[in-house]
Amino acid sequence: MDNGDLVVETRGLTKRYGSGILAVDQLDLVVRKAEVYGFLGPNGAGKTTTLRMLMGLIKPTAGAATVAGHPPGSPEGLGRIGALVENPAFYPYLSGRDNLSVIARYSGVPRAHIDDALNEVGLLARGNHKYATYSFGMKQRLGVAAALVKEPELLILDEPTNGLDPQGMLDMRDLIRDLGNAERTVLLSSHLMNEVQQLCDRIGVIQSGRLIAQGTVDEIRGGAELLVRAAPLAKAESALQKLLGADAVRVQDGVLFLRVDSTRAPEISRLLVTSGCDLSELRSSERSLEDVFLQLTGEESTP
Amino acid sequence: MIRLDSLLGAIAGESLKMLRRPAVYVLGAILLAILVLISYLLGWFFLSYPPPGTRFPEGLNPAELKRAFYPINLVRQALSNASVLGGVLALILGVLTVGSEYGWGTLKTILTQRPARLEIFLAKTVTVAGTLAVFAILNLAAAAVMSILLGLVDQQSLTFPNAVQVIAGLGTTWLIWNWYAAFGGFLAYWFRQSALAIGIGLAYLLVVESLVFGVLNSVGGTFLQTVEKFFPGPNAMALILSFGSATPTVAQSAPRPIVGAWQATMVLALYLLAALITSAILLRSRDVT
Repeated sequence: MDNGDLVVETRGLTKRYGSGILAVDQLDLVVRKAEVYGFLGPNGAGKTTTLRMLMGLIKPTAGAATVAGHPPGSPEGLGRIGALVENPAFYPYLSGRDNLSVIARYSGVPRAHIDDALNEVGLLARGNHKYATYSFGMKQRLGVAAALVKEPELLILDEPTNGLDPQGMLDMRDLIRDLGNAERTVLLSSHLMNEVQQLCDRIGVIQSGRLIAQGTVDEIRGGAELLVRAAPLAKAESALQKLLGADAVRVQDGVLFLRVDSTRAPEISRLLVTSGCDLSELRSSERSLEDVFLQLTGEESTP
Repeated sequence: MIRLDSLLGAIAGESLKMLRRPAVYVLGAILLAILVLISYLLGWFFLSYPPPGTRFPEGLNPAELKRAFYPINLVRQALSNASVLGGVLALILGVLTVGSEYGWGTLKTILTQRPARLEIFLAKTVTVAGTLAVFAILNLAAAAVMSILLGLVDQQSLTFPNAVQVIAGLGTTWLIWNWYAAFGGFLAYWFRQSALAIGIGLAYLLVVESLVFGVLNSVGGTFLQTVEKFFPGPNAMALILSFGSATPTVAQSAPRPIVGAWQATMVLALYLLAALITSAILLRSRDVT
């Protein structure tokens, strides 16, 4: 892979606060050009701290990073990044349009971009209304518009659907999907598994400040498995291990999971019957990202 | 390194915020109201219609004292607004310009645009300085209007101060207000909020510089006079007093400046510079969360 394809790269990025709290620990993160990268982790895992470091808002205790080809917080890099970090923050006495005008002036971009950005997030009609009168969903959309005014190469969105109602979440996801369709790179931080699964090409999972997994959604989830319910269990397990190898068979909660191609299901069915087992269920089973996430982060799934 | 295009962009952004902010207009209106009501109308009315039994200092009569309200003294009268009351308003402007950014979380919004932190700091400083220049001009213009009106009412000749005095008066007002605004800005950068910065700023201004020095001055002593020379408030007052009094008779009973105008200017400029440098260091070096 050419280094020019890396839009975000961190090496051993670490943030320790004065109080001794290790917020981010030796983080090695890679975001490639034109991908939608999901930065997944539970609340307090270190996602926002990482994004703040990438934007130059806080300084790392150790390690290094490049963002859009420049050190974090450098004017050259910031000019190529649009970001919504944590909650949207704007001037309450200004209209949505004037808030974007402040950002456009700061960023040195043409004012024509303002209406384009407002239009893209569906706020054109409310652009002249004061920010203080906006609903939370509108504020969130204005935050995305502010990130888009610069027409950035890299879009960093920190939990953009936080606090939105179900329709607002759907709209925001559609918007993010559109934004990630072109050449633009999107780094999306979220603790919502289905959101990341729907939107992202690759994901990184962070837990207690450490990156514990990184790859495509399929790589993280692992391949599809066959689920088998058969009795007696030990006899079925033994027969399947002889056929597929011990590594391909695991037992969980009285159910057999086989890491094989689903086209071998008839062969497996015949084997179990000829081995004297009663086969009650045989179907393809895909692990959801949520299952994997909970397994990785060591949390119990709730029914 | 400061990039001019980036700095100009940040100044344009800050100017828009300043122009649209209602609090700026409220501060400006209060400033002018204080000048018109306290520095002109109240004093003029009292001297025009003194309550029965009022005794004036020896050698002074209402007609002599009222000369302060006529156009020839408009610079001195406008400067009466430059010290404590005007200083309080300038301090609040400085605090609000910085502290609100922390309160609303908008500092992180502007820090993630193109300009570097030092450029943003300079843009804020330039915008506040520009606003205070407008305030100083309006303050002087209001003094001119009031002095002409009162001069006409009292049928006095409309003689105006020379241009040098007008420019010096504007410069003095601007320098003093800039110091107070920079002090307020420094407190806001330090505490990362408006409320505490305004509280501590006003406590310093009204308690230390006005009350403590006022009480100690009444006690007197050379040590206190020496100490005072190092504080911005007494130097600001010395600079204002260096413009003299309305008439030679009034000057006899007026307080004397503790230092000369040049020294007072230098002390205030140094305080202004120190406040700006420490503020810039705070903004550049600290995490913004």
